[in-house]
Amino acid sequence: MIDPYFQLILLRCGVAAIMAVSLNLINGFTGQFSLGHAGFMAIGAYVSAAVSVFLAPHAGEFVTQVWFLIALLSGGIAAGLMGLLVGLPTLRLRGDYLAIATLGFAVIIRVVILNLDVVGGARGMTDIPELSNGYWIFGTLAITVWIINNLVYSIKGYALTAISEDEIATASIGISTTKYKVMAFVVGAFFAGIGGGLYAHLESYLNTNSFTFLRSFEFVAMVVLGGMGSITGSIVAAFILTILPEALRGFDQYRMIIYSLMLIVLMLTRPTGIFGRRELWRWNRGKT
Amino acid sequence: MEIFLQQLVNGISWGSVYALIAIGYTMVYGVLKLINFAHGDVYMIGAMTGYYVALTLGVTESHPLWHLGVVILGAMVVCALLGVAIEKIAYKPLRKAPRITALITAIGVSFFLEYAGQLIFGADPKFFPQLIESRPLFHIGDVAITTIPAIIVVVSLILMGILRHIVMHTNVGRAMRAVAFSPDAAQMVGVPVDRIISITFIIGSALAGAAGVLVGLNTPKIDPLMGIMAGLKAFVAAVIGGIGNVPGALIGGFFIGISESMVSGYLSSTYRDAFSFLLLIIILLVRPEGLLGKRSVEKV
Amino acid sequence: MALLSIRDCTIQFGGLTALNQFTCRMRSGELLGVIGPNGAGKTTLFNVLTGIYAPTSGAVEFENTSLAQLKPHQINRLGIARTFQNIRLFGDLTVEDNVLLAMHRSIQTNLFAISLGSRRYAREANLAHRRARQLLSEFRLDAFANRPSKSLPYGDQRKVEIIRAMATQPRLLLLDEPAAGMNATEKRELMTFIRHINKDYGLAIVLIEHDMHVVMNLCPRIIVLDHGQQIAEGPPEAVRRNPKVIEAYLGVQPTP
Repeated sequence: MIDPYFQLILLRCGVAAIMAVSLNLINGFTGQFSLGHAGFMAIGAYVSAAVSVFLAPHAGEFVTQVWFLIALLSGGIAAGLMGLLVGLPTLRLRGDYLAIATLGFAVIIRVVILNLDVVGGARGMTDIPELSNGYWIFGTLAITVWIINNLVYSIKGYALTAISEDEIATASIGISTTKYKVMAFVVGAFFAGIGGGLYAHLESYLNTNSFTFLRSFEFVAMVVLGGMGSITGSIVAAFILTILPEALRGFDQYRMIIYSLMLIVLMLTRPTGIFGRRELWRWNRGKT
Repeated sequence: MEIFLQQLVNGISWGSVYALIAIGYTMVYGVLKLINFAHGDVYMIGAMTGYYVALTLGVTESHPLWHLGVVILGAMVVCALLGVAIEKIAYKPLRKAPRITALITAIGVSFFLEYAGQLIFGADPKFFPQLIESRPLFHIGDVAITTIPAIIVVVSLILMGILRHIVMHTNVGRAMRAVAFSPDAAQMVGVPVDRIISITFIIGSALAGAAGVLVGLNTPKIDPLMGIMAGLKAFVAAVIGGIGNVPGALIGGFFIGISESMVSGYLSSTYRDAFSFLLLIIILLVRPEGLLGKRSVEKV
Repeated sequence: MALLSIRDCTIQFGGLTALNQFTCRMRSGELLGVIGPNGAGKTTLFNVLTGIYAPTSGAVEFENTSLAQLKPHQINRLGIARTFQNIRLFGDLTVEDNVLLAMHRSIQTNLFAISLGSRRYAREANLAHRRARQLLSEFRLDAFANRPSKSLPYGDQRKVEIIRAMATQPRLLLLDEPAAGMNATEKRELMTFIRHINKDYGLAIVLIEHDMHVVMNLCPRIIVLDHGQQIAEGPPEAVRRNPKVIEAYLGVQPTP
């Protein structure tokens, strides 16, 4: 039997991987720099937790599992809708402006939740059923990877990579860049919401402090470390960056310093990330 | 009315601090097109330096006014050195890299300063010594204007006046404007681009250092993470004013400072942070180039 | 019926008039050359035709449909495709993927079904792949199909960009200085290539080109722009002798 602490870390890695892969769709493949992923995660977490706590009936095991699925999907859909709401106006903005606008939305989302007494406000939300287990988390991760992989490596999906390289050229071959950008944003937000739901039912406790700018940035760091435009990379980086701080616990005071230094050194030495734009399962494509 | 005036005074003193920080953002963005995320932490280092300089000067009942001058100067010098070090080590190698890479590096530097700050200064808040005795200077209606906000505003305005002079009337300032317009063209006509970028970091960081001390006067509780929100909001101020535009940073700073104070005074301080960002988003959507910025046409 | 009709088209940026009262009609299948010194307004004309800039005044109609208010992608769907002065391929995508993406409209399956692994998409994709390969082999670029487009030699990148534009199945193709930076052999190849797509595909082409040899040999009709004004129009011989044209080029006379 695996040590429960290690088991928990592994499950957290899985949630982080869902978050990183979904953010990669937006930041990496489509090149729309979002710094607000924790905001969508928060919506998914709180909505799914609310469904579980307030709506789900107390019945048998099967009913519980079905309601968990309903809770997760509600969280995902709520986050996706928020993604649509945020994406429609802001995706006209470019680069840094989009980054700061999405960051702003995440702050607003957090402050609104902080002022909602129904979900505990500043005290946080407790007693969320601990339903997220290995099957749920890694099953969801597999589905997320499969869907996003199908999407980005399809003929229509190449539009996302094209947009990240050159929006004017993309439009010149008849592609509505707005439509694709918003689509990527909504799908990314949807899976972030699902990830948030899994997180809520893993930790069983929610507090808005878990969804600050720092959390958004952790996911960005995963995407960049793994490679912008590499699903494989996001998964690997999510595991590394979730395990690393734990592994450094012995050096408690220094661990975050080491973490940030590693990030800087990595950017200076290997700015394309570990995998660049490659996937383990399509390794030889696009090689010269 | 009393609340309004009180919040207005509050807002103006916060606004001038935001403006000082925002200038650093705006200047760096002007020359490098980079959001220097570490800038807020430079401001934190300014406050911390001020704290230690003040301690060195001795804890007395009442400080002479020159103590304040020394503390501000000390913070400005340390921050200027820090700013130029950050530029040389972390940003210079990335000048030709994609902007996202530089942005991530900037955030990495920011984390580094925050966590190194926690290690060196301790995570607990410190209390900034009272360099200026708080007493009323004059009254407007029932509201007393006290020494501290007055000094904050005066010092900020003096520093911004000096900056304005440098940017508009010196060769260094002209060179900065040239680099902001086009680094390549500036290079071609013989502007020492590297040196100008360093000077930009020196000036911007020194102003952030001064802002750190000024905040210490007003809200004495300082800690290693104080730069995160203040930095973000100063950046918001820079964007609202029109990024790359120095007078814009000033206007944006006051805009954010005053509107935040009003929200705190009339609504609730929990909504304060959200409100600044709401303003930012509205401005970005309505007038993406900011209040004073110029609209640019993309070249095809 | 005219394929393209531009009437009194003016475009101003602040105080600068980039294009002034420009009027022009084009038949389908025509090969029209546009020449003029740097800054004459040639690329601006393309940017107006593809919806990147809106004209300050005047009207543009393509097959009797007004292009006003249309976004660049909508204009492409109407049947106008273009290349860019500074090649704008998707460098990280392979050559074949560049072309496939331009064929995206041949994929009827929606994105939702695609992301859930639709079989219908698999069939459509297969077909598209075959057509892309065909197109590439027709222009002898199939050897590069799986290489990132940024890794190709300059001349081949230009060709891929033209093929990508053609893959959107336009009826009007706008080529912005396709011969720029090419050597003599590459230019000769390019001329054959352009003639081929004009004749065999029946595609109307507007060609902006600095190389007089290329333009004069390819285009039966040439328009000369200078400072946003049309200063001459006609067959190569007439344009070449036109004193206004010679003056505009100020000694850079076309080599016979």
